[in-house]
Parts: sequence; structure tokens; C-alpha cells
Amino acid sequence: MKKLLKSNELVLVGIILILWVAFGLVNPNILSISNVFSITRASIVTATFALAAMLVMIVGGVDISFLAIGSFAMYVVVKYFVEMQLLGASMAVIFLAAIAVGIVLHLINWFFIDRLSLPIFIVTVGTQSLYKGYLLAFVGTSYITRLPDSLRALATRYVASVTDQNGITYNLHILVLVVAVMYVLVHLLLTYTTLGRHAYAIGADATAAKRAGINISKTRFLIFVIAGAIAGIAGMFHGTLNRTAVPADIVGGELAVIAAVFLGGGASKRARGSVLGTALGVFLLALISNNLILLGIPSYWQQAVTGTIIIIGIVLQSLRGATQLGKKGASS
Amino acid sequence: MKKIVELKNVVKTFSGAVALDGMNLTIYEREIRCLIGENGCGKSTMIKGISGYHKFDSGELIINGKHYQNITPREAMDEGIQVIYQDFALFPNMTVAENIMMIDSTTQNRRLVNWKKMKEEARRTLERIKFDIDVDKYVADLNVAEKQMVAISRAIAQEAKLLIMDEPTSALTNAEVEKLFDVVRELKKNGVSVLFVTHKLDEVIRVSDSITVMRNGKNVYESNENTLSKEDMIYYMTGKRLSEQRSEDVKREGVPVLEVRNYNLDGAFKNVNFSLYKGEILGISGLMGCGKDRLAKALFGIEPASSGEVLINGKPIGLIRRVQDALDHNIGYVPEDRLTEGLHMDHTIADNAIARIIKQLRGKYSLLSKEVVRDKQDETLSMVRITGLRRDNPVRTLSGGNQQKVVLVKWLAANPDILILNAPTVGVDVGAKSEIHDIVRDLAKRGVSTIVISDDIPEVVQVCQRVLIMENGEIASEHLVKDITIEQLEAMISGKNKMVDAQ
Repeated sequence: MKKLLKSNELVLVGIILILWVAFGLVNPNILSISNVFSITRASIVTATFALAAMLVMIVGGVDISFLAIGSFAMYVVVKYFVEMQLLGASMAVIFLAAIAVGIVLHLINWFFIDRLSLPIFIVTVGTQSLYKGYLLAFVGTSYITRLPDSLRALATRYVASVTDQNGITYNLHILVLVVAVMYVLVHLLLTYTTLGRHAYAIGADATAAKRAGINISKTRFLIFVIAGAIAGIAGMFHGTLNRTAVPADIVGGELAVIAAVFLGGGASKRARGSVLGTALGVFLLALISNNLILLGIPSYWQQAVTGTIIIIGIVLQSLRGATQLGKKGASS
Repeated sequence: MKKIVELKNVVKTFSGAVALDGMNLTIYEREIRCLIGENGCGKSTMIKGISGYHKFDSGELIINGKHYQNITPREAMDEGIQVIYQDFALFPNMTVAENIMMIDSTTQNRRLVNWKKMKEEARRTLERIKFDIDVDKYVADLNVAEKQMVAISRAIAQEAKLLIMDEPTSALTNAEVEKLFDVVRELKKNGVSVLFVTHKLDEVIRVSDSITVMRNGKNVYESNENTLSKEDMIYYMTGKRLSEQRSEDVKREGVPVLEVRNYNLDGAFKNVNFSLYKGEILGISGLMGCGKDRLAKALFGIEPASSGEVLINGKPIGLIRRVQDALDHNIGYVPEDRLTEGLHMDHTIADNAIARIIKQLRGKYSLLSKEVVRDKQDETLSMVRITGLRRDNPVRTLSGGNQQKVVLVKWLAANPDILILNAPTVGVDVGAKSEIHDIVRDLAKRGVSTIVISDDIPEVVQVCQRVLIMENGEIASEHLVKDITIEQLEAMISGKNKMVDAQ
């Protein structure tokens, strides 16, 4: 843990604190607990998808298809339960169905990547379009506003609430805790299991991993299974919080999620995806996009600010890398 | 003594091309065996065969008394065979401890990681080779020598019985090489055999117990002793007796092709004066940091001098301030680091050969004609012999020596009047080295004036007619090579005092 904090994560915490205080000086409401609740709620879906994107990044590539997978899984499952008149189906069954769809779709990616040795990025650029296209062409284009009962209940399940001086109540959504648990589990998986360490090894150098006796196919298979399951869950979170199933509405927003993973150290040679970093990256971007509105900054400026922060974060990472390189050059 | 690995009459071909042609090799317990051979003689193929990455077509492979038809990498590892590759195959995003114990965790099929135990075991392994490093450091932050030590530790953590090191010293400084040798000897004490693959003959003499020499895919010399002389090593490696050839002296008369007057660059060199005549090969030598390297760069305008004057054919042109100035006066430069300065590694051999003159090949509307380009490429490439030449292969596929020849060819295509060669044969094996020397001598006969910057004294003596010795940025002395021996020159450069006494 100490090791983690010394690095990129500490820089992110610093940026978050500075921005937060700066925002707070302009609009003190931003510092309130209620605002924290609303930022975390707004981050639930991004944070979950970021976990899926990060896992693939760790095994060595940028996945572009996770939002398409999540959308596909959510819409197909909701449509099935609604059309089959299974509105009373239990939450567990619905989520398991979405997880299964997510896994199948991500394993199609794995097939092309592993069996045909194609680059992850190129394969998923193709399948992103493919999944979205199939969803709209063969499954449906209509909005489903009547979700199964268990999902409707989940949409308003809170674990804590705060009422401000104007009498408006802010709630901490239960899914925030669920996402936190998922992050902890993935962190444990990556840090304390051989599978997790092998995933990092493959991402760093696939040839070296093979020479070390690591089964690349099997490791990537398992990682894609987990990432597919998480993408399916993330899709369900999105539909649930929206209280409507819209096919492929989020497809196209992949880069914002990937940016969060990059900010979290996904692009740095030393870490290649850290769980804490990813969480901080997601939070940082949510902090900016949610609060610029409160600061009265026009929405077209948001993208510019977000872009600037991403560039600053990545430059900081690479500068740290560059000083390392400099040291190496001097000593050899 | 017990045999660990035995190869008998092994053959391996790659789509018709013979890589191993009846190779025999025996490695005994507790020995440091050096395997030498020129680039492309089949060393790497043989290593990959022993470690399970290639399958031999025929012949026998016996490891620890067991016959293997088709050994897998895992089986080779289980037999205690570990290879330290030139790129070390480490994971930069992981710590020293994790890298050392990585193979362990895979071979034992563990599911969970016990970080505390891992670090302890890593520390214990590092102690065995007496290497002190923080096991929590990331490998990305280590230098080459440290990475190598981590790779060695990883190998011995697997209870290696045989460690195969492929060109382990190519990226190390002299002090680091010393340390590596200590570790190799320490390993031997611990009962590990080492197959030390190299083409640096001095190292062979210093570190080996026994020697195997390879040429054209087979062993041409094998001995359980370390008694082979350097000359004989070269003979077995190349199949040729390299003559102590020297360049014929030239007449230094008339107007020099190049004259350098009072050349200065703060902190690099000062008050440099010399002349270079037509067809002359002038050596500039001296210890590391004597200023010869920066003088070479200044003469080509890469890092220009701050004051002084250059005369070309007697005509003053002032300072050479930019590379373009040098090119305008038809000066060519072959850099020391051909990987980053001299070649486009991923482009074809043919394209690299004409990279310097591509502008001259433009025709109507500044367009390039395929035929013109192709003819010029063939013409250019025919100037030197490059083994295994496939004009449309990327330069990367060539060995170091052949890459260096492509750099030379690239400059020859431009017909330079003056050629500056900065350390032309660093990292090149003996055979290719002597071919490069032949090319340089041949150029001189055709009237090209050449400056060879080199700290390889035998090279200077064999190629140049005159040599300048630099010391602390100044030219300390000048000698005609015909009047001097290698030993005298070496003494002058390293221990100057002796020479003063002699005089």
C-alpha cells in the first residue's frame, strides 16, 4: 500500500484535492457531503466499466468494446424478462443473465485475439460496431421504460441520506458500496492471486511471459471472462439507474472511461493499471464534469477542461518515467 | 565428470536454409564453457533447441542422461536448463522479488501469492550470487547490469544446473563485466555449469574452463581446456588466417583534402590542427573521454566547434556549423551507434542503401522512377558482400556486422571525398570486421580520404597509415603507422610514461 501511494496515485490525490479546494472557494456547496453523494452516484456506471477496461489493459491492450458489451447485455436481458412477462424475476437471476451475456460477448473478442493473434484494439474496434449493430438490427430499437420490479426497487435503494438547509435530500446510493466492494475484490485478485500477477506479466511482455512458463491463452481467457462479467454488470447498473433500457445509448463514450484508466496509471510502464489509480481517475473526471456546471462554466468548456486534466495527468506520469530513463542512461 | 547436456550430430534447417549442420557439444558438471562463433553461425538456433523452443530435425539431445526427441520449454526448465536472453525477458512493471520468483509460481501451480515469503526467497537467492539490491525496486528502474543480475537470480531460483548466457557482456561497462565474471565463478562454486556465448575473445580467455568454436552450424573445435590462442580462435571462427595486414603508405603531398586549424570546443577539445591527404586513412585514437568522439561529431556538424577553421582542398570554409555544411562539401559520416543514428531498422536493406542519395534519383516533376531506384539499389549493394543478403528484408534482420556494412554502403553511394568513421567496428564480429577493413582500404585506393576514430588499437594499426593520439582534448602526438607497433601504441595511449622513458 505504501508503495502504491508513493507513485501516481499520490499525484492524483493531489490533483483532486487542489481542484476540489479551488472549486470550493468559488462555490462552497461543492465541498458539501451532498455533493460528494451526487458525484459518487454519477460515477457508478463509469467506475464499473472502468474496471472492465482496466483488466483488459493489464493484459496488454486497449478495449473499445466494453460499453457495447454492457449495453447489449443489459438491453437483451431486460427485453427478455419484460417480453416474457417476467417482471417479478429476482435481481440475482437478472444480473446473472446479464453477466452470462457479457462473458459470451467478451469471449468472442478473446477468440479473435488469442486464437487468431490479432491486436486487442483492432478486434474490439470491430466488435464494438458489430455488437451495437446487431443489437439495433436484431434485438430492437425501442426504449423500455417498464423495468422488472427488482430493478425498479434497486434504483432507489439508499444507504444514507443528508438533507441540506433548503430541505433537499441527497442520498448515498447502495450501488456505490457495491462498486467499492467490486474494486476491493479486483484489487485482491490482481495482487494476491497468481492469475492477477500473470495478467500483469503478459501485459508487460508476452514473450517473456511465455518463457517464464505462463499460459497466456488461459490467463487471458479468465481475464476476459471477468472483464465480460463486469461489463455486463455495469450495463445493468446503467439501465437500473436510468430506469429505462435504451439500446446502445452509451456506446461512443468509451474514450472517457479509458481516459480515467490512463489517468490511474494504466499507461505507465511501471503499473499498467492499478485499481486504486483507476478509482481515483474516475473520481477526478467525475469531479470535473459534475462541478463545472455548479461553477457556471458553459458546457462546451467542460470537454476542454477534461482534456487538459487528462493531458496534464499523463504528462506527469511520463515525466516520472523520463527521469527514470535519465538515471538509467547515466549509470550504464 | 558428469555430462549435463550432450548434443550429437544435430541438424536443423529453416525452410531449406541449414542453421545447424551436424553440431556436437558436451557440457559437463561445474564448468564454464565458452561457445564462440561469428554472427549467424547457428549459436542462437542451438540454444533455442536445447531450451525447447526449436525442434532439431535429426541428431541426439541428451540431458542429464535422458534422451529427448522433442523437448518442451517446460521440460528443459525442469531439467535445470535456464537461458539468460540478451533482452533478459524481465517484467519492468514488477518488483525485483516478483521477477525472481515468477517462474517458481508458475511451475508450482500456486494460486495465491504470498508476498512476504516471495521477498524472503528472493533475498536468499540474491545472497547466493552475492548481489545486493532492494527487492522492492521496480525492474523498470534498474540499469542493464542490475537487470542481468536479476535475470541470473531468477534462473538460479529454479535450481538451474546449466545457465546459458547469450552475449551477456554486450551492454556492460568494463567494471560490470568484472562483476559478472565474479558471479559466474560463484555459480560454478555452487555447482552450476555455465555456457557462455560470446564473440569477444578476451572474455573467453579470461572466464572459460573449456571452449567450443562453431562455424557454419557445426563445432569446428572443442576442448576441455582453455588453451586456445586468440589467433587460433579467429582461425576456427572464420576459417581464415587473418593476416596482420597493413595499409600501404601514401604520399602526403600537395594541397590537403581537408585541413583543420585551431579547432576548439569548450570542454571537449582544444587547439586541434591536422591535415588529411587524398587517399589517406588517418586514425584518431585515445582513451575514453579524450575528445575524439566529439571531434568527429564537430567535423560533421552534429555538435559544431566554437572556433577554428576548416579548409577543403585549400579553400577556407570557416566552421562546419551544421550537418548540411558537411554534406555540401561531400563529407560522409558513419556514426558509432548505427541503431539510432545510422539506419532505419524497419526499412528494407535496399531502401537504406540509397537513403543518402534518394534526392539525386528524382526525375521529371521530382518523382521517383521505380526502375531508376531499383537499379541504383542493386548497383549500391553490389559494392560490398553482405552474407544472407535479401534486398527487401528489413535491416533489423541482419547481424551487427552486416548492418554496419549497410551503413558504409549508404555513404559509399554518395561518393564522398572525405569519410569519417566513428568506431566503425564496435560490436562487430572478427570476420565482418576484417571485411569492413578491406572496404575502407579499397576506398582509400580509389581516392577517398578517411578519418577512422577508434580506440581499438589493432584496428588503427591495420587500417590507418597515420595516427593522431588525443589526450585531454588535445592532439598529444602524431605517428606514422609503419614506424610503430601495436604494443608501442597501446603503451602510449594507456601508460604514457613508459614511452617517455623509452625515448
